[in-house]
Formats: sequence, C-alpha cells, structure tokens
Amino acid sequence: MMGNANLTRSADKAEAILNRDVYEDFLYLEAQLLDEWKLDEWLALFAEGATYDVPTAGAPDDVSSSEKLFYISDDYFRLGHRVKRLNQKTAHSEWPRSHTSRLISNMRILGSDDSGVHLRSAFVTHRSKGTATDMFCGHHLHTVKMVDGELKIVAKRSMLDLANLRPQGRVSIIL
Amino acid sequence: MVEQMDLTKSQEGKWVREDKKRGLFKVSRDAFTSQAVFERENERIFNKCWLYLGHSSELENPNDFLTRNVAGHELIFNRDRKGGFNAFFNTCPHRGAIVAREECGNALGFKCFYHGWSFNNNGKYATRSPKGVYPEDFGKEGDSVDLSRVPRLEQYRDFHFINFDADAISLDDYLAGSKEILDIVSDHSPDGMEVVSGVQNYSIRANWKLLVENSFDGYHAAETHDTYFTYLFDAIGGTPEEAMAKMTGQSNCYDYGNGHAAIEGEAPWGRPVGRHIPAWGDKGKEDIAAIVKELEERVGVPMAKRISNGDRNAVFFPNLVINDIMAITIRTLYPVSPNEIHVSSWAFAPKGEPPELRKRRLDNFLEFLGPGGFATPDDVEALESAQVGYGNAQFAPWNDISRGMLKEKPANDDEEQMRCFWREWARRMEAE
Amino acid sequence: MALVIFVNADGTKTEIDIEDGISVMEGGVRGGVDGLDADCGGQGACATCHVYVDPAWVDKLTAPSSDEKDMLDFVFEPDDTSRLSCQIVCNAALDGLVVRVPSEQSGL
Repeated sequence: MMGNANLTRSADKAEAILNRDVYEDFLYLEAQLLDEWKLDEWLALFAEGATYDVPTAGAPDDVSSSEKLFYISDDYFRLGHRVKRLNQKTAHSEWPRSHTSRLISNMRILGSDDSGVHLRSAFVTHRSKGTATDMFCGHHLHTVKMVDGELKIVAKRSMLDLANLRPQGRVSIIL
Repeated sequence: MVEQMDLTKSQEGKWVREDKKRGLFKVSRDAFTSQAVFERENERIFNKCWLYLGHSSELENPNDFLTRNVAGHELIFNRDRKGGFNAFFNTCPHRGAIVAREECGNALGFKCFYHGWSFNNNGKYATRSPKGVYPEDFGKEGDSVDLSRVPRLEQYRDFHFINFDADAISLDDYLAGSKEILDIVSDHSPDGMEVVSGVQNYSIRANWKLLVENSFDGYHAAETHDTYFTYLFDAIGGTPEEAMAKMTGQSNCYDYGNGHAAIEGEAPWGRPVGRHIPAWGDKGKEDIAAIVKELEERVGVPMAKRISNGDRNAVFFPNLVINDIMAITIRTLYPVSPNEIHVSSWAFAPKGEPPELRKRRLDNFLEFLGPGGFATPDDVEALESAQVGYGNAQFAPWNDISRGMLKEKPANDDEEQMRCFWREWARRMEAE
Repeated sequence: MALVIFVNADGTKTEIDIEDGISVMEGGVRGGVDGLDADCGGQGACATCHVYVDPAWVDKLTAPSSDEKDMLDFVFEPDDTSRLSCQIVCNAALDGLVVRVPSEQSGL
C-alpha cells in the first residue's frame, strides 16, 4: 500500500468496499474537475488531513518522502495552498491556463483497511501550452473513504511511469 | 569588448558589451539562440572547464558505481577495489555499446552485454579469448581495449569534478575563491554531508545561460515568486512583519574569480541548519539551538552565524549551482541545443539526520524547489518565455545586465554576480 | 550461508562466511583474501580467480560448465581440482568448503 504502509492496518474496521462503478465515476469526476480547472471543487473531494504525493519519475510505490527527494509531498495545509496558488494569475507557470486532458483507466480495487479503500488506476495526462504539448503517464494510488456520507480522498499518490521529466520539465498542474 | 558602446551594430564573435563608466552592461541575444555559439561553447567551455561529476557520499563503499551523463558524455563514476575514485567513458572499447547500464550499484567488474567483453572496475580489460582469435599479447596498454579514462578527475571537500582537457589547471586553482561555498555547505554538519537519494532530472525549453542567471538572481524573487511568499508567510507562523523584523538586511555579492560568484542575504524562510520559524514549534527551536551551539564550537561564532543565518546562491562557472537557502540544492544544467537544457537537481543534507528533521528539510526543499514546487515552475515559465521572446532578437537584440553596476558594493538583488559569469564567458568565447 | 576456508600458498588461512547466491570469489575478494585477482569481477571472462578445491569437496560441487572448462585451460598450473571460484555459488551445503589459493594467477 502507500503512505502509512509501516503501520499495521486493522482489517477488522476495514472500510466497506462499494460497487466498482462508484469509484470509477469518482475518479472520472476528479479528472474532469481538474481538466475544467475547478480546483476548489476538486479540493473538496479531499478529506481533512489528506495528502498528495508525486515521487520522482520511476520511483517504487512505497517510497518514503522522509528518505528520498520527491517532486511533491503535500500535507493538507500545503495542498490547500497549492490550489490557492493555482487559482491566482500570479502562478505564472499556469497563467494563462494550460489545456489539460486526463485519461483514467485500468482501475482496480486493491483492498481495504481502516484507512480506506485502496484504488489503483492508470493515467495519461496531456498538458498543452503555447507550442508545447507534454504527456505525463503513470498510475495513481488513491485511498478513499466515506466521510459524513460522501466519498472523500484520504491520500493520493501519483506515480510517474517515466524515465525522467524530459521534456515535460514541470509538474505545475495536478496530475 | 569595445569601449564606446554602439548598440545599433552587432559585432562578429563578440556578444558582451561593458561600459564601466556609464554603468551599462549588455549581452547580445544571439548568445542565447545561435547554433554557432552553442558549438563554440562546447569547444571552449564544456571541453575546457572543470565540470561537477558527483559527491563522495554517492559512492560510500569500494566497488560502488554510478552512471551519469556529463556534458553529453555517458560516464561511469566509481570506486575500485582499493576504494580509489575513477571516471571512465561508458562505452565499450570493442564496438561502442554502453557498458554499465544501471543507474548505480556495486560491482567488482563490468561486462558489456553485446559481446561479453569484461573489465575490472579499475577499467582494465579482463577478457580471455581462445588462442589465435586475437594477438598473443592483445590487451596491453597501447591496444586501447581498456575502458577510456576521463582525462582529469579531482575533488575538493568530496565534490568531484572532471575536465576533458588533460592540460587544464588544477581544480584547486580553478575554483579560486569559490572554495568558500564548498567549505560552508560541507561544514553544515559535524558528521559530514550527503546527497539525498532521488534526483530530479528535468528539462527546460530555453538556453542554459538563462538558468545560470536565474539561479542567483535576487531581483526576481518578489515578482516571480509572489505566490510562494504568500504561502510562506502563512506557513512559517507569526506575522509577516514579525518575520521581516528579524532580518538584519544583510545583502552581499561575492566575485570569487574565474567566473564563479555568489549572492548572500537573509530571507524569512526557516533554515534547517540554524534559523527557526514558529511553525517548527518548541521542539524545532530546541533542535536548532543545539545545531547552532555545535556549529559555534566547531567553526567559531562569526562563521556559525554565516552558516546558520545566511542564505546563499552560488554559481561555479560554467554550470554548477549550489543554493544554500531553505534547503541545499546542487544543480547542474547542460545545453543539449541552443534552446534546451537538461537539468539535474539533488538535495544535500547532513549524514545521519534523524527522519523527522530530514522530512522537514525535504519539505522545505519541495515547497520552493523542483518541478513541483511553488517557485521553480514559475522560473521555468520565465526562462521559456524569454527564449520565445528571443524570436524577436533581430529587432530587439540586447539583454541588459546593468543593475547595480555603479555601486561600490553591489547588493544581492543587483546583477554583478551575473556580470562575473558573463565576463568569464566572454573571455573564453571572444578570444581569437 | 557457508563458511569457506581459503588457504593461501604461504599457509595463511582465512575463514569467510559467504551468503547464499554469492560466489566463492566474491566472498573472498570482498573479505580481503589475497591472491584472487578476479580481474573481470565475476563474469567468467578472465580466468584469474583460479582456486584448487580440497579433494574432499571436489565432487560435492556442481560440475563446471563447458564455458568454465574452456577458461580453465588458461589458468596457471591447473590440475584436476582446479575451478574458477567465481563459478562456485555458495549455499548451506558448501558449509566448511576448503579452497587453496594458488601462488599466482595467469595474468592477461
């Protein structure tokens, strides 16, 4: 699993696994909100205390941000600021906005424990601005759980299945 | 360089114009776009200067190796069985295939996957063939079947540099005053420093010299990184006024000679080596007080103050950046064409740093630096924007790097540090 | 894991614990045993990691491949107990293995 893999997870209080299509539609919703730059609504999909990680290209799924350098390792506070920043024109890398298109596929439910239901999906995200269109591909690892009757993201880790960020250069969008 | 600056005319083979009396410094945009300049740079700069290869901490044990591309050359950087450091060209002397194909590892020898030619990790050819296939004494020195060695490899304070010019001056002479920066960052910890695992390898669609300038540019911080500072003041705790009040306003520029230069100042962010922020709490305050105390005992109070509280951005000519700011980054940037850079960025940290402090340091790094930070992507945007702007170079031919030229003591938001770089660049590029 | 005993030509004995999957050569070189040149570092390419296996152990080892036999033609003063130590891979069954390191390896 991801993030808190070192803690022994309790299977007794495992989060109930819902129908597959609920999770698929949720991931498609997330992708659409991001493509449409509805970042506040996107942030609302995250539970309080959630995290968002993007390890360096090609890293293993369980890499730790305390030991290795990542590209992004946001706690909930920083994630909120990432959205705040991207909502401003002074986030120069993304103003004017780049065009993005996110494909989500190959979703599998890996299992469940008391931290939530663990999902794995493949992604291909294109970002286009000016004369350059870049492609980012890899797999997302989401942990989701019901909070007050709504499905929320507790942790999202986007693993880039690339040798490096050449020519992409930046991860200034949310993958 | 001409004395009387006539900016209406370009001059063959000359790109930098300096008028010290008037306080004007101009660089022709042709320097950023021309294929001929790119080729001449390869010949006169990247084939002649000392280039950073790696740090001793990346090869902790004998027989450790790593592979790295430096200035377009695939290299093996390793330690042999006796523990000595070596740098070889990563190409089989048989028919050229890459010999060491993994990013890093530990190996007593290397074997080429193509025909099985094998080598001791000291580079020596070590392949026996059936009788009659090769001459009886095949493999002696003049036969050129050992791994080729990079002409020069030297180190200062565990920073290893190579030079493709066998006749280059020593690394020590070349570094001149910039050794001070290597001393300062190496002295952060009593137990030594290490490169943290996990390199950021990315690229920028711009000329490499734009990133050189940006790497030690104090002037752009407030404008380009407005959103980072908004975040920072929310993150550090306390009010912006409290944070600004603590700063002494020191602002320096150091010309280290041979094109190396640095700026130094004091920013409001926390420094793991010695500047506390309220967000790190009482425990953080204790951690830092202990670090500073040890530092004072080891290097004396004035240098401890400089190390703990000074933020510095340094460029070692031509293309090694060491920024000791909210974290320490070591960065190299190579041109692959006039308008593309390959960047490699590492974090540098005390050996044996407890996980909690290491996490804090790496978070500090990621908030600002790297492809996903709140600052670097905006720098990338600025550089790529400038490169696009240079499409107008025929009609808007000059960059201005005059800021602070008439000052007795240029500040860290002036451009003297860039002028140090450009003067050395011009000295090499404009020579007959 | 196997405890391997290296006996040098001058009588020096070195005992080294070698993990499963690691060759006798590698265990010896990393353990500081003298006389194992092992120029190619274990690729079976140089024939300079030659050892004489103690007669009691010769038949307990996996027989040499034809590639190894070809290489053994090049070693210095081979005999029936000669092996390339980089081709002897350790496991528990080799615990107590004794090998003699020759006074010389045939240089390239």
